[in-house]
Amino acid sequence: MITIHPMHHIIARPPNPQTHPKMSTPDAAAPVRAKLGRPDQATASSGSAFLMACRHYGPLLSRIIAAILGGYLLAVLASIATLALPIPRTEAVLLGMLLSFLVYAGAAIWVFAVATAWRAWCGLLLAALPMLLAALWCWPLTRQ
Amino acid sequence: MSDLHIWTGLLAGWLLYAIFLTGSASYFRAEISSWARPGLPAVSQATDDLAQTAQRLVDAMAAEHAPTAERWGIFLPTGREHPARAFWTDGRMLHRAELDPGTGRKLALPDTQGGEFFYRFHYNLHYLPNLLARCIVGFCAMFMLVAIISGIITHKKIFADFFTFRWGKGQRAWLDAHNGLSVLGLPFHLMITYTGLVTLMLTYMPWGMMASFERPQDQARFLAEVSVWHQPEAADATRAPLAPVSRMVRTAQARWGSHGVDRILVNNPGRANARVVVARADSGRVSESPRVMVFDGSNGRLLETRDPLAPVAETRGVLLALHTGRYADPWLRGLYLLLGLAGAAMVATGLVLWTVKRRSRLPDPSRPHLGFRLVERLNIASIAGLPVAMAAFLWGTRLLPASLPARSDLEVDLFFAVWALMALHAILRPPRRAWVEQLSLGSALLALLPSVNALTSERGLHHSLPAGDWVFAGFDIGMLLLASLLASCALRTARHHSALPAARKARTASGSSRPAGSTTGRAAAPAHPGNGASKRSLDRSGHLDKPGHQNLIQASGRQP
Repeated sequence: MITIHPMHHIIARPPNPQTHPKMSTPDAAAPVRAKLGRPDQATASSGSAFLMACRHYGPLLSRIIAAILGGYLLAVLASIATLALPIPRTEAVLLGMLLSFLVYAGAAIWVFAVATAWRAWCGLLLAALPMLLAALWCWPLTRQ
Repeated sequence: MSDLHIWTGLLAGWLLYAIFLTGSASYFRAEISSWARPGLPAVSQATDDLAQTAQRLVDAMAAEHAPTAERWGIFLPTGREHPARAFWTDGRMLHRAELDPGTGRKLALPDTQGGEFFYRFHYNLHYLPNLLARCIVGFCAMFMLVAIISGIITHKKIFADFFTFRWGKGQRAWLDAHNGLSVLGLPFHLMITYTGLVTLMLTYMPWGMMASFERPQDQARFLAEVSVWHQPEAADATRAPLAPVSRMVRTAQARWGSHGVDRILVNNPGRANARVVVARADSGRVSESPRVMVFDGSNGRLLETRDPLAPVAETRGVLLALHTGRYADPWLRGLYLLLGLAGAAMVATGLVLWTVKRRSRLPDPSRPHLGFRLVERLNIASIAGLPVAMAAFLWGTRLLPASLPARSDLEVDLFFAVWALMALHAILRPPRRAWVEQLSLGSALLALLPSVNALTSERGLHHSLPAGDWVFAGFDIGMLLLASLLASCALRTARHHSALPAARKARTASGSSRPAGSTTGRAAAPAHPGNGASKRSLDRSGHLDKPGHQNLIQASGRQP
C-alpha cells in the first residue's frame, strides 16, 4: 500500500505565526541566527531570511529537481539498460523508449510519495544502480 | 502562497488545453481541409482502380513534376481525401504538391493549411524551433501522465493536488463537471497522453538509439527500419525506366486487400538502382507499424517484405494507431473528438478552479494581486480565446483572397493575431465581461461558418444535406453544435451573478443546495468563485472556524 502525502505537507508553507503553534514564538529564526552569530533583532537580516527560505523551499526544490532531472536520467538509463536484453537490437531500442516514459512517471511519483527529499534521492539512486550495471554491461557490445 | 508546483501545473494546463483542443480537431484534419477548399470534388468511394491511379501519378511525376528528383513520395487518395499528395526531394529541397488522381496534374487550389494547421500546432506549436516546441509539449504531456498515474494509485490525494480534483464532494455544478469529465475520460486521457509521448519518443528518448548505433548511417538505417522510409542508396549513373508500378501495387493488394495500400515511395527514380516501397494503409487495422514491400524499380522484382514486424515494433504501431485514430471510421473519430473535448474541458475547469480556490484567500478580493490577475486573464485568453482564434482561422481559410501570396502563412498569422487580440481584450475588460464577450464572439463566429460556406460555395447545408455530402453537412452541423455549446457557456456565465445571491442564501440555510441554473457541463467553467470549493480549501487549512473567513467566502462571490 503506497501512501502518498498530500502536497501541502511536502510544500512547506512559510509558517504563519497565528496558525502554527510551533512558530508562535515571536522569532522562530532565533536559533538559526544564534548559530550564525548574528544579533538577535526583530527585523530579520536578509541572510537569515535567505536561510529560512532555503530551509522551507530547499526540500521542495530538491524534489522538483529529483522528479524532473533525476526522473529523466533514470528514464534514460532504463532506455539504455534494455539493450542488455537478449532480443534483437532494434527491438531493444524501441522497448527502452516505450518503457522509459513509464519509468519517468514512476520516478516522479516516487519522489513526491516518500516522506523526505533525501529518501526520494536514495530511491532514485537505488533504482539506478541495477540499470547502470546493465547499461555498463551492454556498453562494450555497442562498440563492436 | 504560489507553489512552484501549482505554477508548473498552471503553465502545463494552459498548453494542455490548447494541445487537447487542437489535437481533437485533428481527428477531422482531412475533413477540415476538404471544407477549406470547396472547389475540390466530393470524395467518392474510390471506384477507381488504385493500381491504375498509382501508375498515373507515378507517370506524371516522371514526366512533369519531378523528373530529376532523387526521391518521391506519393500518398494515394483515400476514402477521406480526394487529392493525392506528393512530395519529392531535389538536392536539399523538399517540394510538395497536390495531384489530381484522375489526371496526375497539379491541382490549382487556394493555398491553405486547412486541418493541417491544428494538427501541426498540437505538437509543433508555432513560431518556435520544432525541437524546443516538442520538448515543451512533451514536458506538459509528462506532467499529465504523472498526474493521471498517481491519481490511479491514490485515487485522491496527489491527483487532487495536481489537478485540484475532488471526488464526490462537488457542491458546485462546475466542480461536478470537472470531476465527471476527469473520471469519465480517465482511460482515454491515460491512453492519449502515453501514446502521445510514444509518437515522439525518437525525439524525447533517442539515447538508446545513440548508444546502439554510433555512426550516423547506422542510425539512419535504424530510423528507416522503424518507419516506412527506405534508406536510399547513392544514385546509379545508368538510367533505366521505372518498371510498371501498377503491377507492384497489385502484388501488394493481393496481400493487403484492394484498399490496403496508401503510400508509394520511390528512391532514385529513373536510375538502374531505383527502389519502390509500397506501404500498407493505416486505415482498416489498429496499427501503424510500417509494413512495406520493397521492389526493384528497374525490373519490378519483389526484394523484401516487412510484414509483420517484430513484437515491440508492432506494439509501438498499435500505440501510434490508438493515438492518431486513423483506423477509425467517422463515428469512432467523433467519439475521439468528444473525449478530446472532454479532456480540454477537464483542463479548463481545473484552471478555473485555481482562481476560485485562491480568490477566497485573497486579503482583499476586490483588488487581487498581480499574479492572481495574470492567471485570471490568461485563463480567459486561453480557454475562451483559443476557440475564437480557431474559428477565425476557419473563416480565414475560406475568406482570404485566393490570390494572396503565402496565403497559408497568413491564415496562421490571422489565428495568432486574433488570439493575441483576445489576450488584450481579456486584460482590458473586467473578467466576467471578458468571459461572456469572448464566449459569445466564439459562438457567433462558429455559428456563422455554415453561412459563410453557403454564401461562398455551392455546398451549403441546403445543398450538402440532400446530396448526402456528409463531409460538408457534418462540418456545418458540427460547427452549429459547438456554437451552441459556447453560447450556453456564455449565457450561464452572464446569468451567474444573478443566480449567486440566491445560491448563497440557500447555502447558508441548508448548507449544500445548488444554485439555480447551473447544471453539469462546460458551461460552468467560467463561472466565478465557487463557494463550495473555497470552503473546502479553507477546511483543509483549518481556517474555517474563524468567523472572519465566512464573510470572506461570501464576499468573494460578488466580485466579477
